[in-house]
Amino acid sequence: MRQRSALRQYELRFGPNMTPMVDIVMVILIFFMAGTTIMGPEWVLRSAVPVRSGEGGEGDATPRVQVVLALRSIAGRTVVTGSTLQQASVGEVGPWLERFVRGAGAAEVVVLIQPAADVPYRDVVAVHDVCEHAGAASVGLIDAEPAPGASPP
Amino acid sequence: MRRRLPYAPRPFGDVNVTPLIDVVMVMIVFYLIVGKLAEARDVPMRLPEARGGSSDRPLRMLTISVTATEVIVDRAPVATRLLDALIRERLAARADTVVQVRAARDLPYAVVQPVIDACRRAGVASVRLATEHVP
Repeated sequence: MRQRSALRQYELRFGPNMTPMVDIVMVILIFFMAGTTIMGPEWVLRSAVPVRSGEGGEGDATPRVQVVLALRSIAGRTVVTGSTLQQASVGEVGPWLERFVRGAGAAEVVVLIQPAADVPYRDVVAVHDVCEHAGAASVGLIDAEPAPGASPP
Repeated sequence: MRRRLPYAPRPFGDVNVTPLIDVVMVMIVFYLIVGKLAEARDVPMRLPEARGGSSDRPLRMLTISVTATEVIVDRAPVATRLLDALIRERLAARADTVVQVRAARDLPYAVVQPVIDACRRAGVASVRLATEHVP
């Protein structure tokens, strides 16, 4: 009699079987976790590497205006100097360059970034990024001016 | 004497495909991950963040990974002084080769600069700076 009631209890179990759903949700979860970490978004910025700061634009009828932005690290903070921009922060470059591009009219603005050796690479890329956003036709990297009295490499 | 079961076993006429789908999904994920890892994804590093740029991938690409201690090309460390010759050689073999520079965000530019200089000496007109895209 006791056995019969136990079986009846088993028979009374009902409801959806969650196991397949949990399986599939777990697989999807792993898939997206792997997708974001391993196949993570790797984008690129195209950067010109001119031999000299004045190079570029030969044979092109479009007038060009060239701006050299020097990046220096002062007290652990990256400052940008170039044209009318004096010791500005990285965040100030974008709005300034937008105004500069508007002022240049039909001429294409070419920005050459001249980072010092101690500037963090992330700031170099950040300035490159804001220059592209601000409407620069081309952004390039040039070497920093050698320090006065420094021997050539 | 045979005992009667309190419930009658029901015959089933359909195949349960759920375990099959589970296994197939796991295998797909496994091969996706292994395939991606087997690809020349080079050195894992925290790339600098950027909002702009593009995500296109050219057919021929020479990826140069820059760490604090070494420069890695095709998973092999290369001396910086030999880098321009290597780039020149690759460009001579395939003129449509695109140079991509991957460097960690926390490095000083002094570590990346020799690589850019080597590209310049090798006659590369432009390089691709790898970034982590932030929307």
